[in-house]
Amino acid sequence: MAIRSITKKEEVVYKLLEPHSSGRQHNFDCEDFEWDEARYKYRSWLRRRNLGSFYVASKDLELCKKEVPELLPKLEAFAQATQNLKKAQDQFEQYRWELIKAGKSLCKDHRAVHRAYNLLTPQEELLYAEYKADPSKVQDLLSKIETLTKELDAVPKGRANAQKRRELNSELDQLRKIYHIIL
Amino acid sequence: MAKRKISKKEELAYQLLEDQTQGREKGFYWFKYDWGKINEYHYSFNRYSVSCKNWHLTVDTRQVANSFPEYLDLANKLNDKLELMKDTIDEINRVREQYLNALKTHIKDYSKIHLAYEVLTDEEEKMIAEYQADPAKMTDLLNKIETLIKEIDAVPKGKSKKDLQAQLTQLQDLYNSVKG
Repeated sequence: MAIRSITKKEEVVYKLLEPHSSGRQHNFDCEDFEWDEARYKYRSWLRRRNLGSFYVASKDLELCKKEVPELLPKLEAFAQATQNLKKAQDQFEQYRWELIKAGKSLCKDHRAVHRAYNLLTPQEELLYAEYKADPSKVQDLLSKIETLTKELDAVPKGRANAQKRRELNSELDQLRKIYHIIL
Repeated sequence: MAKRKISKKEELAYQLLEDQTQGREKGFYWFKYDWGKINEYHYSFNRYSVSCKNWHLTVDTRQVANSFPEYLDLANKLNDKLELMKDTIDEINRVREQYLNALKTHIKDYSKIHLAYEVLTDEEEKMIAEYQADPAKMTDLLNKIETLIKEIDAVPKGKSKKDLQAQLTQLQDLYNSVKG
């Protein structure tokens, strides 16, 4: 098939159409961005290709001004709309970041958020608040745990001391449980 | 591993963070999305998935008012800006369509755009414009082509036939260029 001949203007038009459509090989197809369907719709490769860019490059503006000046007002309106989007997006992302930061600050241990969890009972929540309000209490708790562990290690083995060991163990478990809650 | 214990408030914060990030399972990871490059990002699945778990980015203000009244103002601002962004995207869709349609009017034959092409020289462009402006010239060109075809048929094989055929091809190319 003979190679087509096109005018310079048409070639410029191809260049300008390229970034905002699926390109010449795909007939410059273009789809509107549909926010509400975005999550599902643009998982399709074909759809993504058809979406095109929301940016207007300054070199495209120059090219349009030089070669197809009659289209410049339309391209400028488009460029202005993309600038508006950028401004709106910056503001939106700022508030989004603040909200996420605030939400994350409520997480007790950010590194553990992916793990399974149980909810604290109201009594446990009170205990947690109490210990959080007074860091010296946590130190006391840790010292108690240490002392008890040493005491338990010092108790000699044998049936005669089994009762004492059980008591110390249960006390230690309780303290560890509190520590686990406030950690 | 022992199950963690979290407060009710922390669980509510999880719900609030879920929509705006990639979710708890991914450590509430997120990154600032550049909507202008939306078509490029979507080519990369990873970037797409870490931006947000879904596109329903509106914050439930009733939930925020109940659980975290101190963040209600922030949530309202976020929703306002989201609406503004949606409006600007609608505006982009509208003006972009106008611009692309205007560009497409400069394409001579839309059904052939996928084919290879060469760009006409300035002289060729001038000649085509000349022929297009004067339909009588077009008729002359067609007559010339017809006469040449008859002439070629009548001439026996040889060098002169080749010359005539080259001349015919030139005229036919010109005709095709003018007609598109």
